[in-house]
Amino acid sequence: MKRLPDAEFQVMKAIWAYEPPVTSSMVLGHMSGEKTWPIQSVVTLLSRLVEKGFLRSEKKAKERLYYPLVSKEDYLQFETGHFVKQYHENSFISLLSTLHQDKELTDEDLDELQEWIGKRRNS
Amino acid sequence: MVSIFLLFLECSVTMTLVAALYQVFTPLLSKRYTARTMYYGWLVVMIGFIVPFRPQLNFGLIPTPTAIQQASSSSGFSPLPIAAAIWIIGIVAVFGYQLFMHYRFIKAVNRWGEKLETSKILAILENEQKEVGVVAEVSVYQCQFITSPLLLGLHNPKILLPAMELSQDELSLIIRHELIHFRRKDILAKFIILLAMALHWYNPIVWFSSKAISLQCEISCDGETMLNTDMEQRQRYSETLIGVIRQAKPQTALATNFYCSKQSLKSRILSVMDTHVKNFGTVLVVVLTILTLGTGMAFAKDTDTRPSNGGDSGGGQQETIIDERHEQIISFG
Repeated sequence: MKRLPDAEFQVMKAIWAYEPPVTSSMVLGHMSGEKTWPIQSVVTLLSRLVEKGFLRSEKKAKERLYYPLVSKEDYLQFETGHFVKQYHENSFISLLSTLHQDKELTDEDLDELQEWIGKRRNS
Repeated sequence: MVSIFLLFLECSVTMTLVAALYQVFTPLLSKRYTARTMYYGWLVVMIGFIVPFRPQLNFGLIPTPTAIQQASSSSGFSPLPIAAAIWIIGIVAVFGYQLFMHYRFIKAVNRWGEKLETSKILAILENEQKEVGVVAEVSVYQCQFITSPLLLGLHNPKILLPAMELSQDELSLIIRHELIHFRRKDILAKFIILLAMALHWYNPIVWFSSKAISLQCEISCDGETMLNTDMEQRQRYSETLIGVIRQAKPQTALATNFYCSKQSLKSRILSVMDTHVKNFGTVLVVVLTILTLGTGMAFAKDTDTRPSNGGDSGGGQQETIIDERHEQIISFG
């Protein structure tokens, strides 16, 4: 998978917003909020996405129908997965990476802490 | 370039001792002083790492390592330019990597973040801004790819929330915590730490210190969030911390979270629930500043006073010199 340029990403976002199949005019309708796109460029973007394997298309009667091959979740995971690791470890922007990793918390640990808080309060 | 390299190398060696000393005494000092003191103390140490200039006196406690002196003055082959080049490459790599990751992160936030503008969120935000005293324009976004709330931006901050169920109380506490980070300009501190890590990438103590600072930063921010609150609020806050981590769990299959680590969460909660009055130790910060400035005296600058202990052994000699200095620093710390 490759990272999508902004315009192609906008098209994919529109596709994900609907139940498949999706037509080019539906995509155009969804994208109209940001800036006006000529239908021709939307069609070009759609065919590029078909080439890249993000979409599958079918010709039915006069209209071409598009089906997503990559789900929003999978693409989100691909695009952000590698820095989730780096960034979720701080309560605000973390420019730091960790050298070694601590033991992960288990549910029991969390229960224990919660119990302790209750006791602490009542004492 | 070689002289700048040596300047930073010297700084690295001497400041390592200050940082190590501070780290060793942290448990003891934490009992007396607030996390805020500990945090500012660390920032003094980090600034000591990135600014290598010190007031120079005409004497040094230890002679400059002869091996380095010889290496820099000999006309033959010298490894120093190569070492300096490797040093620069390391800086560019560490700094560049971090900036690149940051850039990618911002891009992803712009792409995937959903601005939260419900009246509920806006009311909480307005209320907390008043409470904390932040007048800047703050916006709240929800991001699917983060597992803990965080703050972005120095001027018009964005508070990013993970995609999870949060009650009104939890939202207020989280937003207050992030607004306090903003008010304190903690992002600048992060930048100082990043600079220190880039300049001293070969020095593990800087990396370990950065973890200690992050924890003190959070603990002190928790402390300010809980200022003038009762036990009930503190309990609620601790439970919010636990709650966020509980909900983040399924996603953490991807990575282990530092702030999910047992020890740091425990430290944070212990600190939140601890209502003992601690001091802001101006003394401690001053002592650290003096220690940091004092590292300039560690090496002799006047070449005349340098004892002429010849011999071109490299590593071994340097080791003993470091040991000597260790004693010196301890003795005047």
